[in-house]
Amino acid sequence: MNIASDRRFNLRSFLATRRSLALLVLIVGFFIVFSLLFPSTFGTYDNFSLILLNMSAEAPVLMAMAIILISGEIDLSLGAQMVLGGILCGRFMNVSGFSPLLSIIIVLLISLLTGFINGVIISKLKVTAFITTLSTGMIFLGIAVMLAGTGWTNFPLDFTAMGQAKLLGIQMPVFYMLIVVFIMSFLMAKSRFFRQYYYIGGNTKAANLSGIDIDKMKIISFVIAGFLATLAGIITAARYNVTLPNIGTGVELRAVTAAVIGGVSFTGGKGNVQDAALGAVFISCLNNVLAVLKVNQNYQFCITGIVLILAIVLDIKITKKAE
Amino acid sequence: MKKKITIKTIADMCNVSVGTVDRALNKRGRINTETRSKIIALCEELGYTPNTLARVLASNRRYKILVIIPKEPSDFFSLIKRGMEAAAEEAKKLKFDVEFLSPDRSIPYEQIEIISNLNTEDIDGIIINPASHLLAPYINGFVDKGIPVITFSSDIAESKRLCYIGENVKDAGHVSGELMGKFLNGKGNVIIMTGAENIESHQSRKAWFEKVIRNEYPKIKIIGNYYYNEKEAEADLIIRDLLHTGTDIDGIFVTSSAGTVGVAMAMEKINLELRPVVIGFDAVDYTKQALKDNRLTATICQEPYSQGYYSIKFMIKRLLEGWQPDRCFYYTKLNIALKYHSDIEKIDIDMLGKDSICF
Repeated sequence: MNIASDRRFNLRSFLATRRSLALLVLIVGFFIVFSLLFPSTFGTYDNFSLILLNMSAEAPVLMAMAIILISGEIDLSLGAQMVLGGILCGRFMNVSGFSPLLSIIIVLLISLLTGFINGVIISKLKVTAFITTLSTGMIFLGIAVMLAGTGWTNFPLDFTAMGQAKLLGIQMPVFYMLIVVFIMSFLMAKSRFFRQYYYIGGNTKAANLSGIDIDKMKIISFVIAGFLATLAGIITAARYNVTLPNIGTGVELRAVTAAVIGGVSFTGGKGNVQDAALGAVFISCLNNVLAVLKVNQNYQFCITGIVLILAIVLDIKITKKAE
Repeated sequence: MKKKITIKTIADMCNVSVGTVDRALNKRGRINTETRSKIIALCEELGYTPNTLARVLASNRRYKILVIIPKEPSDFFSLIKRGMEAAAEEAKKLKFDVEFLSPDRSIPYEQIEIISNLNTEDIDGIIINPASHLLAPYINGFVDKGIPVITFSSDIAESKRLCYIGENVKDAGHVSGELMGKFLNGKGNVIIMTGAENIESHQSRKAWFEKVIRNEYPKIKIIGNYYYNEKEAEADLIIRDLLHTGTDIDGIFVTSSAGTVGVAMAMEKINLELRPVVIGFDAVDYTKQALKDNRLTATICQEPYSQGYYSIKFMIKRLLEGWQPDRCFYYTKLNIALKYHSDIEKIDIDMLGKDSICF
């Protein structure tokens, strides 16, 4: 054994074990470079607030996806649940005349049901998560489209204030995002209950042997995911004062990309939600730059897809070398 | 990067304390059977093995292993002791102390005297070269008290000892008989020199040797059986007497290292036109030289260093990890030392840790 080589600094190992630091360096570097290149458009306080704001509405979906991925599954219905949540909320306020608070409560309760349906089909009927959530996503979206009509808008002021009011010059969704990220990070790190998702995702057989009720845990994860996606839909509706069926388009892809960039393994058992959030910051920075460069939004999908592949390949290479 | 599995991970997954996992893995303390099974199954699935070193270093416990090893024949047993001392040196950081007790002769009553006066209060394990089955009740008594016993070089299979490390006596006797038969070309007069009547390993070697000769080389006659009381000088005298009186000896089979040295000493003193074929045991320094000088024909070697080394290692494994051997016999490799292949001890040490134990 060469002791000298064991002590030599290995960048790959360093990056593989300190994902947060690597991401922060990447984001700061990104910001510095593009701030220098576009000082009046990119490198401003307002623009950085915008970067955070743009990702804030979808941040709960990202948290949901991160937990699902860590548990070794995937949920392709999050976008549909997000849309359904917003549309139902709008309908309850504008058609049923419910107060914003009551509408939100009812919609969140319904979200528990949509998540529960996913969880039961996957864990009890043993249909794969991919097929299940693809199918239920279409069902939820279909229901949303039927209920949406031309969309809902002109919501009560106390509802839109939720999404548009500012604190310290920053819109409220950013703070909701920080609260959600903080709570989920804390729970996944400190709560034994949530830590079980790492065990389930890492080695299902071992988790089963240790006495973890995998079916129950999976149902709960999809219920939480549905709840968070619906919350994202409500926040989006409040922020934009409108609900439309296409608002959640591509949110799953962005959530998976952000999670993988943040170090969440798509095979399960690895990663954390706070790094996934940093991954989302990176994606948001990237989208912001593309907007500054006036790149067509349709091309942004391609670019996001390319970034996802690169992130996965890089992650595999770094992790393998480090191991 | 794959997360390292620790005892804390196991405890967290099973929703038990670290202490409970520790008790389950080390088979001690009170623990629910179902919980123990769950923990063990999980460890197997995850490939978790406790970090023994960390646990031992963190604790204040010291372990004591007692080795009962004969003084004579000194050349042979000193090789075994060297192996033991090497293992003991490695085990120092694991807080193991190895104490050696050396009865003057490898005969039962002396061993019984030592064992019956033994204070076992602070002894955690015993390694012994038992001379006879008479020691079985004593070995069983230690085991019943929770002190594991490992035998080396000779064995008492019917006792409760943990395992035996040493030669396969049957193979040794068989190979000796085959060598004698082939060297004598299937005919001639052979005498057997046995160390002591009551040393069972010698009797076993003799018995298997005789079986091969009788069954496969019927023209070879065993014309005498002599006891040299494990003394080189006595073996020397017996052979010289026999040869001086004109006894027609074509082959000599010697059942132990001491006798082999004694016979080689005799060959040095006698001027013979044609020396008998001498098949003996082990390759101590004098024996190696005797092989080179053609005073001996071949000796059967049994990896004494490995016997010593592994007996300590296995005992440590037992005491630290609760290791249960998957078999009772761990046979060392049988080597044949010849004139041009006598540096057997070096081979023993070089091969250590690779495949020197036949599992």
